[in-house]
Amino acid sequence: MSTQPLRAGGEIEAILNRYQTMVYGLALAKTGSPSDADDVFQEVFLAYCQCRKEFRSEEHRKAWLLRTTVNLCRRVTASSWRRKTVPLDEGEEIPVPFQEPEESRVWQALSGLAEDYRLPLYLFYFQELSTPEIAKVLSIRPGAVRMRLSRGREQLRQVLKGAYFDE
Amino acid sequence: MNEHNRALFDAMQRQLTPSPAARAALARRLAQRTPPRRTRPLWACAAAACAVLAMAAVPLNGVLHPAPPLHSYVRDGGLSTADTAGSWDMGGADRPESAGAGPSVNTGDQDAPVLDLPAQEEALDAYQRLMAHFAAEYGADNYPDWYGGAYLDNEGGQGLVVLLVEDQDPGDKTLELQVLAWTDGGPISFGSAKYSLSHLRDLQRQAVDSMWELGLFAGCGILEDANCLELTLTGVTDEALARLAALDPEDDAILVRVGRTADLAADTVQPVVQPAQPGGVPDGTGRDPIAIEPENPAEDASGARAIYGLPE
Repeated sequence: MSTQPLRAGGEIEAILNRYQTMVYGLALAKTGSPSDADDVFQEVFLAYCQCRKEFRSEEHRKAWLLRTTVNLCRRVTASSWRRKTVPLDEGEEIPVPFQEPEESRVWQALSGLAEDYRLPLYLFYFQELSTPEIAKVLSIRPGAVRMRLSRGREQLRQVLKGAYFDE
Repeated sequence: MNEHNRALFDAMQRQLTPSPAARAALARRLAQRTPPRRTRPLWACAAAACAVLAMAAVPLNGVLHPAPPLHSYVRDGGLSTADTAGSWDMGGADRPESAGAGPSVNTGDQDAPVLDLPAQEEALDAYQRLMAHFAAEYGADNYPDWYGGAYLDNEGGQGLVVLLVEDQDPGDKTLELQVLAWTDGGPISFGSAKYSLSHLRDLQRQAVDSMWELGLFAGCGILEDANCLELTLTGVTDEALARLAALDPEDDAILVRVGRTADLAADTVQPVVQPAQPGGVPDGTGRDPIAIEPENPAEDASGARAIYGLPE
């Protein structure tokens, strides 16, 4: 993995290419809406360019992007304006077009979980974060992360027949 | 995780890409922020060197001290589906709670349909009891440092979610048990928060004062469910963003919006800003502080200062 300047804003194209799927994926897992995830994706990288932050390490940069994504998602989904507004194209919202039916089935099952379970599972299995790292990103206790992972896996086992989310 | 699942998740992750339109929009917005660098011919470099020499007598503060970090902000229209409405606080010192009126829980959405009224009433009762305990224990309008706020869980079981500041010992359930005892075992669940409500209220006062000084202040509220402030400005400057960055160095306690205020003359749909306090309590004056807010605070400072409880 090539190293990028640790100051925010530098080499934005490379940073975008490296982290766009992570940011977009987390935003999609949290909001459930591709258009909201697109909005959050833009805001996260604009915030990244504006913050002029010096990162201690690549892990620090990744953690900052994840945390900022969660915060911006929360601001989008917590907005009372949004809750009272029905987008004109709501009916046209297209689910994520995965290539394989198995992939679509797994994502659909994950998306069907409550957010409390969905996000820890996404971060654990897709981003391969550890329990303490997930706890930091979501601002919850490590014990709560373990509990949510466990309950989330249990619910997924009932929906999916394969052991996709093994421990 | 077995190899098949790892490969499956990797393949799925690679497909989770933003739309080309979003990428293009981001590229445009980034380009607007930072104009592309052009290579300069030699004569321009020489002229620049002369200019540097000519300015040698000028104090070099700006050169020796790098520019301060700037706070992030969202321009109205950036997150196009978001608005500036929330639970609005006009200064905090004269909130209805402190005057003895019964506080209401900050739902963050006053006009949301009530899905389960009895359950919501129980949660509201629990909130009232919690506030009464705080008032008795810490004095009116004061909160303990471990308390991060509370909100109604409209999407879940209609209970009250009480946020505990995350630096508490996770193994210590004393606080949870105490809260349940104070609220007579109401329908309560617990969440964690980074900032205490007291911290957010202090931050709110500082941010409002600071932005008022710059003539940019439009409104400020505490979003308890998001554990942050929502600060709306009429415009943005580097000085304002630097001040906010100093107040919020981690850039996650203040959501800065630069946007519109209510403009009855304009024939456009504007987000409605509710004249209410945190806790969903109307300000009681019957006035709409946003509607009468001056375009230029300096031109009508007395009225707006009275509304926001700012010093003369």
